[in-house]
Amino acid sequence: MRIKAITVLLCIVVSTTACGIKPWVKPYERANLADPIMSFSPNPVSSAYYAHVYEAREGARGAEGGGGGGCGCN
Amino acid sequence: MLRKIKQFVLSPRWSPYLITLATALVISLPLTAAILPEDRADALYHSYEGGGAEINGPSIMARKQLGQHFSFLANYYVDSISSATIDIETFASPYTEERTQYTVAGDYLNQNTTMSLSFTNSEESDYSADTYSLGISHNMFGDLTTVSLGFTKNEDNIRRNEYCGQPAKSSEPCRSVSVGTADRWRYRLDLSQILTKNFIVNLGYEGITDEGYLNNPYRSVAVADPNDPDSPDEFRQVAFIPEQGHYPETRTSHAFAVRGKYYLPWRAALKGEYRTFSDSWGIASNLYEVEITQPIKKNWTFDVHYRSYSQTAASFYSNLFMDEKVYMARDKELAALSTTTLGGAVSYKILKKGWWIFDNGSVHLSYDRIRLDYVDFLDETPFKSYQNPGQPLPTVAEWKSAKPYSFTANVMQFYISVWY
Repeated sequence: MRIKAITVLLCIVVSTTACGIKPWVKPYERANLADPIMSFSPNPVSSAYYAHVYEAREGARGAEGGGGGGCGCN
Repeated sequence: MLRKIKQFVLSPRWSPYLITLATALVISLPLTAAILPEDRADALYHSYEGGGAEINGPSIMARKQLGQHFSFLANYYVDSISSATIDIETFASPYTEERTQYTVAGDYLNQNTTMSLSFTNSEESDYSADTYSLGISHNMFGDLTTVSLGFTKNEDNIRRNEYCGQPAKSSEPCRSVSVGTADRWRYRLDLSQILTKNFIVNLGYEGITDEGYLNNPYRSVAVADPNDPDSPDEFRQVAFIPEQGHYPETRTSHAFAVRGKYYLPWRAALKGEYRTFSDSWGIASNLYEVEITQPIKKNWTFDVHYRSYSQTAASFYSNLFMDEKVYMARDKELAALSTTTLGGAVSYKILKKGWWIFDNGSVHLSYDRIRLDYVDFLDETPFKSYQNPGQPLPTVAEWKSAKPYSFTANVMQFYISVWY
């Protein structure tokens, strides 16, 4: 099992570093994604408060998001 | 479908390959640059009113970058609580108290990888909690993809306030007795993916496992009087047993979320979210949320959101037990319930030309109306007089004749944000 896993790892490393993956949305095409209204969590303090309100009153918990990031709009 | 995916991911046959695949992707892709969070400060006032509880207070947060690689955050948060909820009305006396929470956190950026550490301490008169968290986030595929991993450990110390003096229950506790500790481990995996120049999606998983004292030390369950087994069920009196000792000491839960945000042609954003949850206590839930954000002219932004949540009851929950069980609970949070929220927010840009050390800022106001409907948690407040000596206890028939409980809550936030 371990040998198979290492083999798969090596194959993927070799294949992906050899060809690379080109981004299909170019940096100059990300103006809309960089707009602050596209952030999943533009106001972390407010998002944390909402999560607290619901977690105290509902049985579910976790995967609330709010981590932000992911846009890559540097 | 989701259950099949979960079984596939967690199966011993495939999990080594999936871990290998994830590791390979992380270490093999071309490096690009990520950025640290913006320098900003927020001063927020929050207010919750509903179901007999009023909770309000401030939350102050500041984040500052140090050099090109480090960013630090501090947050101070207060809940001032005045509570006369249905649990309090049925089993205890109204009370007031305050919860204070401090958070410090740091981020370290190295090329396309950000590592985060944080510590949070929360204190109230009968509950202390320390939270340690670490995370790592990595941008890849030319910044189209961000993968984040996180781990959090909670250490909780639970106490029970006791009230003495005359009258027997005054609003101020005379002592606080430790009843137990609880540890919690949280594991997060998060993937954000740009799909088109207008569309971004986010997939999140969080697994949480708890161990220790997991119930509320003030709550009781209702049981048909075990000393009266010969009477017909409907005429048996209802007795009350503290939950302590009748609650599982472990709990494991899994939550999967998918959310997407789409940039509309006229400069507005549409967000959709779905989350599914299940745990070892038998609770299963679904959450749906939609939100539209609409800027108006240069300075105004309006937001409208709708949220719908429903859950099944825990396997050991009952509004009334006819026989005493090993595990018993009557916490309304573990009952079958649904939550519906309709809310809106407005923000206005300030300091547009900058002032002093500030580049710009904004003022926000939000309001949410939350409706909570409980399916099998009944409003038993008419029987609260059983607490008085000499008062007859309710019968099973009376207890079952109560109506399902529901209430509406109003949630408001007002905050100012500045960037520098």
